[in-house]
Amino acid sequence: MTTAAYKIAADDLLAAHRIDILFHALGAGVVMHDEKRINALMIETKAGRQAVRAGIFIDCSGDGDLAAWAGARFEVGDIKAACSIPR
Amino acid sequence: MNMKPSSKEASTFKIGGPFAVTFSIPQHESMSSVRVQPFDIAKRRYPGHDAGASFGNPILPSKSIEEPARQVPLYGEYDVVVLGGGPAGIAAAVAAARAGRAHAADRALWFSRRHGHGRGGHEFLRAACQCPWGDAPRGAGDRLRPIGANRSARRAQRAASHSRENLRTGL
Repeated sequence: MTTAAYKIAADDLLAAHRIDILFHALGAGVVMHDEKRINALMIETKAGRQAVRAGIFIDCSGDGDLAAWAGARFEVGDIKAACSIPR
Repeated sequence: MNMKPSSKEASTFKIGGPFAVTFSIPQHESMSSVRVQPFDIAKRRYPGHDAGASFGNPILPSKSIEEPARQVPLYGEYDVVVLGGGPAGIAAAVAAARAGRAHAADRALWFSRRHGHGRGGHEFLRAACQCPWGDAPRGAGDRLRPIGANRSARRAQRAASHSRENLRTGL
């Protein structure tokens, strides 16, 4: 299977569910409502820095970025234990 | 931006720790918030580097600048925002949209950071199978078949039925 087929299928699946997609956006941080609740997620695109608010945030960043920014506990691998994205 | 110095005197800053270096930074109006902070060896981070927020690298170089506060445009308000466009993000967004429809919620937003990084469809389908709502892959298999990804579609269907069996017994 080609990655092109995957992309078409993925786009189609998301479009069919009327999901707004924002390509090439990088999560840049969070603004907290209080200690436990996220007020807004800050994103950065070619249009600059923007905020997105939601009732529920799901972190699928692959690195746990959103959870870490929001104050969740985390561990980072080291050279001995595992490869990890350099900070 | 006015780069004229607001005053002629220079502020002196100290770097803590074993170095104890002092140096001066001229005070410009636009540079009035340049700060040098000592590294707290015990906490392994700089003071003012909020541990709770965990932004960036805690082992930063000793200089930092304070970014002025500003108004940031609001892109939108959603019920669910998914950060990440990999297999997990797709599965999460679709699952949220399906669950949301049932609960009269509106929309989900899906951010792609790595769209097209090419892990391949199988992982995506498997991730979709493993979503807690269980029925996400049904759409995925149907969408792959007409674009010539028959093997993956069959695999997806197998994985989907397997996943559904697991869900029946496991939950």
